[in-house]
Amino acid sequence: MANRNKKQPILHISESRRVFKALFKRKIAVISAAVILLTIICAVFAKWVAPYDPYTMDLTNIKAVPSWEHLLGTDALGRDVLSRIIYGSQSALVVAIVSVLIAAISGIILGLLAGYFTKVVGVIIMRFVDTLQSIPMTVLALAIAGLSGGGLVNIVIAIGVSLTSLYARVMRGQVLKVKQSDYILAEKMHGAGNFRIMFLHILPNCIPVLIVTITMQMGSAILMEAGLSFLGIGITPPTPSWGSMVQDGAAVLTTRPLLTIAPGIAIFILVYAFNTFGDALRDALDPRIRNRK
Amino acid sequence: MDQQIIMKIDDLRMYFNTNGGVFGNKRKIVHAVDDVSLSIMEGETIGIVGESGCGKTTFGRAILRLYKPTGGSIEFMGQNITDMPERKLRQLRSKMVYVFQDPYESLDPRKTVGSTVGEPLIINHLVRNKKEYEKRIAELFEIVNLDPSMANRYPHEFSGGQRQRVAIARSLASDPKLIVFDEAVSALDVSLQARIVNLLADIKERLKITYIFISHDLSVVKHISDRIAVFYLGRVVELSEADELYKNPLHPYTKALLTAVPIPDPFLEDKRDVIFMDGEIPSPINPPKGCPFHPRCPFATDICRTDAPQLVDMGHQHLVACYASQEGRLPK
Repeated sequence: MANRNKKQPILHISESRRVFKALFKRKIAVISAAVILLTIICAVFAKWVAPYDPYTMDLTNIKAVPSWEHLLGTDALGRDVLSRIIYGSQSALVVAIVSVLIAAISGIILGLLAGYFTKVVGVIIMRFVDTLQSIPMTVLALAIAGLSGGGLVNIVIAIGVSLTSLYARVMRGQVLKVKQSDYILAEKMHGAGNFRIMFLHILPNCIPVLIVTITMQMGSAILMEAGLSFLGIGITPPTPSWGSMVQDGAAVLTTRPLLTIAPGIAIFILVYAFNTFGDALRDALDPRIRNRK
Repeated sequence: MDQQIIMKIDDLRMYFNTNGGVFGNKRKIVHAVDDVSLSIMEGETIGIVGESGCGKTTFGRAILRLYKPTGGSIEFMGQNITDMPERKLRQLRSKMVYVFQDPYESLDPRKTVGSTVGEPLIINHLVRNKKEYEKRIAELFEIVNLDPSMANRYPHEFSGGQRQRVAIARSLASDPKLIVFDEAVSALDVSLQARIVNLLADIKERLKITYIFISHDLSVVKHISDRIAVFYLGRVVELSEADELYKNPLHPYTKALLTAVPIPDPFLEDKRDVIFMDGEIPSPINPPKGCPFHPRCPFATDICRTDAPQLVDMGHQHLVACYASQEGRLPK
């Protein structure tokens, strides 16, 4: 200890910088981030990226097989499939990200409160969550659509609300577990307030489970949107959506499988990218495995 | 030694309810701490010893109001904190802190050790700016013999002994007057124990802090304590100056405990009298009537089975709660 470094320690290599560094070290994270970014670019600049207008029908050229003119062929109304997939990424991204964020934020806050204040607040919140969960998602979406019409915003809300109960439950369970730890008692013993304990200590320690849930739900949100669109309360045709493209293609699956497979692969790639990115993010956020290869 | 009382505990009781079973079993009451009175002097080190399950930890946590006591009163620095609401209590929390047994559990795995140590500084508004904050953290690391440049690391990068030093550094951050060490060295190996105990003694000398040192390990407690309280089933059965207690234990339980400490000299080991205890420590759910120790005590008489003995001063500030000892019926 004699020739100790006299320099003051830099206490704050900021947490976010460490996370980014660890994230970029992971190849899979970079690749999936690139895929997500590419999808976002396609969605935002669809007008320029897509070769055709997704609404223009060409009834003389329906269900065309792939050609240089139409790379993925045309659908039952003669619309270019590739262009519809590119435009469809807009609603897919909005549904996947926004509805899951709505669900995650509200669910996490509810679960955090319910798990931390187990007595009165917890009971009230959990009964509310039970009520929410007892309403089937389709009915909820129908109700919202009935009140204010269908459309993207409404199904995002419907999916978001119906996923909330899941987050609230997962979060509450985690909070109950983390709350028992000595390091939380240590915070209390040092006089930390409830707010500090909940958001600075309990929440970060619940992150692994939350991230897994969030990335898993992004996939199912896209599929839910497909289901709701099929019922006619989601994204209304002719607005392109990957879910309804899969549904439409199903009718001619045996003769023109590409009409189903192409949007299906698009869903798969986006969902997979979200999942792998989520996994990498979870690892990067955990100081114990952050620097492990 | 300064003879001012820093914490006065009167008839402290801490009971817990067990959960009723699915089939409507009656809730039972666990008597974790029962009628404990203790005055802690400023600057002294009190050792608290006893078997596992005797209420040492509960006592340590209850006096810092990590639990709400069932009965009795606790006075800290002249203020009655027994029923003090949490909001008001938070201001006193910086003055009385607790060091946990398991350093693997007591540090937040997602925070750097620097920010863990610095947290009490922020909570209690003890630093004005970032520079002061970092300077103070570096100081605290120096006090516990850790290199301040380690502040950027996470708990999993440290060994048990280093982690416990981090925990100690955190407990020192808010300039406490009283620190409760709950088995603070038990999780460490013997050579480390000695180093940490010496470090604690050193810190105490420099910073004039009162220690309450809870342990099941008599040799560790002997080394550091001024006075020692022996716990049995939630009660204090003997309280005395440390040396006096080891030289002249008055309670049969203390004698038995001391017999259990191995002596590293086989000749001495052979020569000494041995008191054996029968059976296990009774369940605190249904503590025995009378003296809590009577079912295991070779000297128990009728009165021991009906009335609980009180602590009586047998001279030299040596208090014991045992009829046999008070009546002089114990073999020397």
